[in-house]
Amino acid sequence: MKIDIDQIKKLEKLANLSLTDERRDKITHNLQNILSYVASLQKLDTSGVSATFNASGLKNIAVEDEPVLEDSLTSEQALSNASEKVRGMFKTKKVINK
Amino acid sequence: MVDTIKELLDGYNTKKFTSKEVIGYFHEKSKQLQQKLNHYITIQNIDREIPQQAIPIAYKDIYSTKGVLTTCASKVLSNYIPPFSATVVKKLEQANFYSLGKLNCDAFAHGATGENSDYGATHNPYDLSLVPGGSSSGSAVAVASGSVLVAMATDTGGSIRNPASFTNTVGLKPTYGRVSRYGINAMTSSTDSIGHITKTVWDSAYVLSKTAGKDYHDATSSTIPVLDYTLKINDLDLSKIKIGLPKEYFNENIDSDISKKVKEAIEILKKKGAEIIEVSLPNTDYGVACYYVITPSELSSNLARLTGLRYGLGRENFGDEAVRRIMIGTFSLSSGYYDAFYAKAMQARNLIAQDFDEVFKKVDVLIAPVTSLMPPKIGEQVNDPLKNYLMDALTIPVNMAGIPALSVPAGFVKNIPVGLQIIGPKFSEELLFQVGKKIEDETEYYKIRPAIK
Repeated sequence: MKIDIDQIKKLEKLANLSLTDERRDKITHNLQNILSYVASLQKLDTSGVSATFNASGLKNIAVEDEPVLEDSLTSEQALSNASEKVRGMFKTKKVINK
Repeated sequence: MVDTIKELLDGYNTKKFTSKEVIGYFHEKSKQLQQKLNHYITIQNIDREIPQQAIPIAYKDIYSTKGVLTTCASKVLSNYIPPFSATVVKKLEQANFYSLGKLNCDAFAHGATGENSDYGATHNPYDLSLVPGGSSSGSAVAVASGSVLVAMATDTGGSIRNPASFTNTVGLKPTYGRVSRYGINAMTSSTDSIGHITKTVWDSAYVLSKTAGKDYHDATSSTIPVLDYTLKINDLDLSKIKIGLPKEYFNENIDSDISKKVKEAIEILKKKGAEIIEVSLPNTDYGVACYYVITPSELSSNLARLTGLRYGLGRENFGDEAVRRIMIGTFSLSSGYYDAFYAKAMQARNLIAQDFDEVFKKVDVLIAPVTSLMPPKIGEQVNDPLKNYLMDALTIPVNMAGIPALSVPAGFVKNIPVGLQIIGPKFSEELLFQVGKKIEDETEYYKIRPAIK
């Protein structure tokens, strides 16, 4: 299955990945092989078969809208692995441009 | 020192040793073997309080362990220390299981050989040049080598059964929802099954009795009652059992030595009265293609959280296999391709699950090989991702259907272990253990220790 470099770049954007040129070439080659293989599913007659699957067999599992205090994290715990913290908050890139 | 949990518990009851002596022994052994096997990512120290009757355990490094480095065998999480533990970790701690450390695996559980770890491949203790299987490579090796008595693992497409079969250990993939997934890195949320590897069937049953059960934190966890799975483990009357052999799992693609060992084990059950029936799972061949659309799709979503913002390092640190899978998943879910790939794979999944429903109307369990080939040499397959994927061909359909399977030792081919899997309908773990025990009682393969050279 042919997948061109523009498609790959689009996928990178969708997947929040940014590959080096070398890596992109290698991955493109792998992807072509793998996608050709999985495309073999097209041969399967699936007429009338549902396209959803309930893995657990369960339905509408709900819990009380109350915090389970013993399992809650403190602010410190929640921030403990952050690369950048500011005044007890995660620091992130600007998302609103003015 | 003991080889099994059962021996250990007996030894504690007869005061053969103290829990401090036991933990000290397995801790030393783990450290000694680490260089040759590379089965651990983190060996914990043992200055934490050791409970009475402590059982040495280790966890695949995708299990969150509070305060202990949890890398998922990836560079992305090389500095991640979870502020909480997985539900299963807490349950086992309460049941006196004492953690010796975090085990190596394929990064994010993506793999079938252990070679996709960012921390180096793990070696098969029966032959150090061979892969131990994956993705739960370190888990299988830790048990096979006697570094621990049980290792927690996960099976999403065969990742417990595959390495168990390559290392002469018992690997349980429970029914989807039998054991809570909370706190364990999600790969394919609709197939991830939380299981474990032990030396013997009794040990496996004992551990499931401790890990299984409904969890508030995992909405997919089942309320079906948890049994003491060891209680009736010896009580099976095989003359009342019908065993199905799915013909698609015994065709010419399967290594004939593997088929032979599996059939020998089936003969044991036949001699003890079981009826053996040939059955068919007609959609078996579509399993790998189906899985390698659904799995990448779900994991591309699950791994989206790793941005290096709240924890871990940036996404440029993903290994090649993770990148491949994220891209395939993103592709399959993207507009223009969703119907032909993802929706089609979901339909295929329904057909695969229906195959099992049909077959379990005629038989009680199925028995089949776990892999179609013997463990390859380390480095042999690592550049061929598709060949790696095909290694899961005989294990994937079970995950698609969400049913349980138990991998037990089936003997050796030129001193390298071979396993077989016993597959049953949902929540039939008690029966799987009973059938496995019959094979184990007769063969006692678990007594054959690895040379580790």
